[in-house]
Amino acid sequence: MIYLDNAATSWPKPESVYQTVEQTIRNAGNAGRGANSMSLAASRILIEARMLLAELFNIPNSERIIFTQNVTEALNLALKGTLNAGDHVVISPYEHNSVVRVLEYLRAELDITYSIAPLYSCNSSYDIVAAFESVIQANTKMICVTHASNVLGTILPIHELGKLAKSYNLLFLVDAAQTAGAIPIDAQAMEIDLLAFTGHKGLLGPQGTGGLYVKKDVLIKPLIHGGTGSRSAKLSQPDVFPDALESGTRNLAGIAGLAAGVRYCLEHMPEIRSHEILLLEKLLTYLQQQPHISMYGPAKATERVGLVTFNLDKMSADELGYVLETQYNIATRTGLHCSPLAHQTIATVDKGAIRISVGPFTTELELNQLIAALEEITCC
Amino acid sequence: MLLIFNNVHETLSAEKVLKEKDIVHKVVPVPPHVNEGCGLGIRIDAKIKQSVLEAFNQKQISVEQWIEEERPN
Repeated sequence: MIYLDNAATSWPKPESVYQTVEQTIRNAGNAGRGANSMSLAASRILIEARMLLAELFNIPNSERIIFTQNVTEALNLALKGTLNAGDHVVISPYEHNSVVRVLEYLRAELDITYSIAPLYSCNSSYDIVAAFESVIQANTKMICVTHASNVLGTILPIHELGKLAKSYNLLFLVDAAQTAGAIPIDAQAMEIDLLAFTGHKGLLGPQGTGGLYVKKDVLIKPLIHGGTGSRSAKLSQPDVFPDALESGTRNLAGIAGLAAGVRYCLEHMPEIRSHEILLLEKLLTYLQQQPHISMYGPAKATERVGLVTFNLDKMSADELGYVLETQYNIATRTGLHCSPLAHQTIATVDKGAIRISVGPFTTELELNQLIAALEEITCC
Repeated sequence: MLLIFNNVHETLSAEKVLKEKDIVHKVVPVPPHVNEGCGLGIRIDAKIKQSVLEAFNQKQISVEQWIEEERPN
């Protein structure tokens, strides 16, 4: 199998991730549940994972990293935990349904509204910031933005948007689903208040892992309440972090695997990105030369994460995906990628598009095989 | 001497600092009547309180309670 769907979930993982998950299931107890040696070992795994993530994202206080089962849960926690009735949110047109559906729910339940920054004709970071600024209202509480589009690959100017958010005293929530592990993220320099990430994509960990960083002094309510192993005599939720937002048994084996993935990223991040750019340039060069292929998103590899979305004139995206899978053993992703807003910007909501996404272990040979397959499919 | 922290994260963050500094300590269970924290504490020899304090200050570790104990370490 040539696996080109790393934007959905990275595969394969580093060997250390597989080994760590197995060792953890075999050896660890339940974190934060008493003083037996297996429980302590489990708690130490959580601490280590938080510290590695804090190092990766330049987060000053690791206890402010809350483990969730995925980035969707992290975004739900961030939005539902900080927004109140009557608040307004500014988002980009590239937001995933994990943001938009939450905001639609909050609109119906709490009269929370949102505006989409008009990025359609923006050619620079300056234009993008101006587009976000143009829809800020008196009741705007937050700018919520994806670091990179999972459809177009476009990387948004997080540093500049962070400055904009601070200049209006707004909360700044960043969805790093497509960038964490591949693109450097500095939570302090980028003035990020809330950073939502998933563990199973660029961070190379197992599915069922993710988290939310909550900057100190950001007021946030828990999504769930329950046992934390702390303040057990108290009937109300503790307010100390991470316990305030993290109830119930964690996915310890998954988080241990995530820690192994993060360690791999810390050791290899510059090569991961340069390899990704090399592969992107190869694919972009080919696609841009084809008259019967419509490619979406930035022309330059350095302005994208490791994905490219396109359509053939002669064949629908779903049919192309099926042919690639069944005749060439190449796995891709077709459809709307859970991001109908992004597809609206390229007028592909009706037909969808096919997405190719690479990872640290994708080889040039595999991309050559994809290109050869596309050549065969388009020539006859 | 028994040191009590806010929660497990803080207790084991403190443990990590003590390990890095090679300071002798033990992570021990504590009953609810000692504190309403996480059921864990760190026992140290009272004689090294100052060096523990310095190590924690460097790493911004805060201790909720320093409890003097009559029992031997």
